[in-house]
Amino acid sequence: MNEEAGRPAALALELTAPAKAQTRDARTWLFSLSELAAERFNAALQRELDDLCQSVADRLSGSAAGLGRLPMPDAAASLHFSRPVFQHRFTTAAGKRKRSSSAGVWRIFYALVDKDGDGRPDTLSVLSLRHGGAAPLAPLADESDDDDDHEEKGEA
Amino acid sequence: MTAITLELPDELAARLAALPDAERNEFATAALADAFTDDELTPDDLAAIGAGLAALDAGHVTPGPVAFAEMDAHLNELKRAKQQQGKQQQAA
Repeated sequence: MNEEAGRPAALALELTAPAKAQTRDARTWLFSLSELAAERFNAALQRELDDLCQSVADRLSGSAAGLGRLPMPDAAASLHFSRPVFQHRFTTAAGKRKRSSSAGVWRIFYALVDKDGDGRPDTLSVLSLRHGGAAPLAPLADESDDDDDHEEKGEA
Repeated sequence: MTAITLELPDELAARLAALPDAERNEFATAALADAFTDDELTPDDLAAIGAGLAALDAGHVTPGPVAFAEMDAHLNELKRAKQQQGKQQQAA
């Protein structure tokens, strides 16, 4: 049991082989732009995954911290694969980001797995990590004066 | 002023009506946030997710702590390579 005021234990975390490869590619790409950006991404990703495992556990248990509602599956992905697929977005941009900018925005696609067979998910399995700008439709314009945003523009 | 309309299938609307106010409001808030988020999945997104699901089903997974250690090691490896490259350039 989580020590914090009776919160449930966080879900166990695992990464699929493709997800691991994608985090590696992301780190390599970011490092080529900026060592600081790669460090920030690495720290943010690990922190985000840990927080996600706890927040999903909170929701599944119906605890006060979890708002009493199950995570909502991503409709498009779940329909496509005929099984629940969840999406979580996070950003690594240090400053303000224009809504139209995908700089520093990442998407984690994950599944909830019941490993111990008790009928309740106990593991969060990361299926894929995608950059918000993974498929730009046009050359990215110089949208921001924020130097941090310049570090993460371009394709992942 | 801009009016925003949320269209829902009849069955979903009926289910939402049966929820407590707090949960119904939370759904509406999430739906509005989604409406302003350009979050369409591309064919590449779907292919990546499919590859992840296939790996999950095949048991090709790494526990979180191990994966994190590998991430940190990779970052250190990149830094070492960069330092090495810098030394070689200085020597040249």
